[in-house]
Amino acid sequence: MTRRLAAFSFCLTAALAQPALDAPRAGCVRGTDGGLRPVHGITGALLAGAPATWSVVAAACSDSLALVKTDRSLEVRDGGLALLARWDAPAGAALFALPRTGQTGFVYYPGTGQLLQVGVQQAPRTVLDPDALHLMVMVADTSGPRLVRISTADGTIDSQAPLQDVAAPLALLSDGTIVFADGTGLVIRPPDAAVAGMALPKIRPAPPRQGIVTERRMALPAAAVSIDQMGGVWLAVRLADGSAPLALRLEGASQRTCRVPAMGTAQ
Amino acid sequence: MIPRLLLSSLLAACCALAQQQFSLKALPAGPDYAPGQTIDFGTVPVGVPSTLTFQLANNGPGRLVLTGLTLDGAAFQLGRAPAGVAIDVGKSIEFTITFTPPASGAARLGELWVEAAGQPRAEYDLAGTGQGQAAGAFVEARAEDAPAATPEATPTPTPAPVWPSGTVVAQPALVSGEQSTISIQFEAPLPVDGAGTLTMDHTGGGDTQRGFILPDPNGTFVPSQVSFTLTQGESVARFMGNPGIVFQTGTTASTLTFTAALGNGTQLASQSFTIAPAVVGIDLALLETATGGVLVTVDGYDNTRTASTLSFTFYDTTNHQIGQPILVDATAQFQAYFPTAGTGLFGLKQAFNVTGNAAAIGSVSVSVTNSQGASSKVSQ
Repeated sequence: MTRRLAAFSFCLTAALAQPALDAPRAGCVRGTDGGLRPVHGITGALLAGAPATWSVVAAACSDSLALVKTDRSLEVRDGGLALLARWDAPAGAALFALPRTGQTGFVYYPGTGQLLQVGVQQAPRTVLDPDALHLMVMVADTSGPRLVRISTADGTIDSQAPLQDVAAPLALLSDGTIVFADGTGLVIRPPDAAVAGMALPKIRPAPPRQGIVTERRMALPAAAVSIDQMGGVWLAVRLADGSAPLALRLEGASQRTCRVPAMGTAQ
Repeated sequence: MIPRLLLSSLLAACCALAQQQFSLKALPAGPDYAPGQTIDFGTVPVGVPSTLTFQLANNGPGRLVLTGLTLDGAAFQLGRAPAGVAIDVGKSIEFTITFTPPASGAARLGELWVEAAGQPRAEYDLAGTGQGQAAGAFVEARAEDAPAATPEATPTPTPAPVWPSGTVVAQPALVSGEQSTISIQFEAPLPVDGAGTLTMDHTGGGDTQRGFILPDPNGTFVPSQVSFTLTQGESVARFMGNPGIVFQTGTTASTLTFTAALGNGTQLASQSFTIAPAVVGIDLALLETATGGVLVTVDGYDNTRTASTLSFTFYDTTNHQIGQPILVDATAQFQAYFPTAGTGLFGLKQAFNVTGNAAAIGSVSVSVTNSQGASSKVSQ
């Protein structure tokens, strides 16, 4: 214990620093009307505000960054959805990967096959940061769904592992957990051996929390039609019945869900 | 003055028309009605129901979600009211209104309101003339029609439908920071079709995140009042076609009263629910490394808005406690924050400087105290 105390002694002055209080930020959600709304609140008490921008084709938000695709542009916005940069982009959809925090992310344009790194301080570029190690993506094409590990140094594929019984829409979380639709439910699959074997080197020891250890299924009111990254810890699941989007957060061995209401707008 | 008033009215009408996404017409061959116009049922024998069918069409540019179709006036009855449906561009829905004059004479008798998400509410006057039986005109006063004309003869009362007793049910029970489904259940099948509103009033603290969530694609948030329809033979009210509507309780202790009433004010059900003061609800505790130390984020709610002291207990990656809990008195910060927040929600960030290897810190247990006690949560 003495050794630990020596290793982790806290600076008293810092401990006495006063906390900062604000409305809890949960991320952003794209409406079927193309509006991108900031979401504040907690589980069971979320509320999406007035749209920060319109004509959004695809978007993903983290705690600190939002990547927003309109028909012909890619926008970088901060966690509050304030515009930081706008770049030309090919028409059509986009897929995103964003860490929970940080100032960079990845965008993939299915229409052109481009995989880009983009951030607050940099224009999108295909020559990726050689220090960023690797990127893991799920690919579902004629070869079947599989997990692909890509070098961010030169974009080459390091390795691939087939995925069994997964279906779109789906999402790959940063710890290797896969969330995918199955009928009128979602399957939450923990990282399996194949995923673990491809996992990135552990830079920081994992916290001693219990993650998901067994695959589980979660019933939904209707079939899922999309799964988007709503925030640092939230996914937004849009349902086929046209009802309000569902927010999903995985927490240890359980998951929490609630509807995401939105303030009414008159366009 | 008159030309100016006329101009103002015209401008208002033009604006209303410009914003209106839907059109209303009587079937089979019209006429079309603009908001503010009178729908005249013509002359109908006293006591004999006369039904007109109307078509509500979506003229675009987007999908139209009909949130309310309500009617005022005892001589009129809304039937086959399809409120709660989404109407695609170019599509339409139909509904009926039945006029049954209780006495002879002509009068402006009622109003029809059409409400759609994101649209200005449209109002139409309803009129009709009763013929035969008792002589003289009859007038049913509306709230805004004062003073009402004095009837020359005692009108023959129309047998009003006897509505079964109703109950407002919340499932699951209402507590802070949750979403429950509210339904209106009747002890017997409904005698006729109808429509009304469910209103939520509160005593105690208000909350900007408390309200109904419409089952439309954007989950439109409605703070205090939603429309419902009643269908003859059913035992529940329907909200946009659903037997219940999601209600977000917010994060403030209070007593909530839900009252269901018809368009003419007839109360069908009323129920109060008390959301008791509770310990702080911690939804999320996050630990992350930051420059020179660690940052702890705590998202939660305090439905008493009396939060004061926080306690942070750190653990290493093998789950051994590191030192003693660190106490932070945030009373002043909470007291300054809550009056401007409008809710009991809070997102707190507390930074800690660390001497040593901050990466070896595995987790933190956060405890928050308010007037009801202390609650805690371990970081993800």
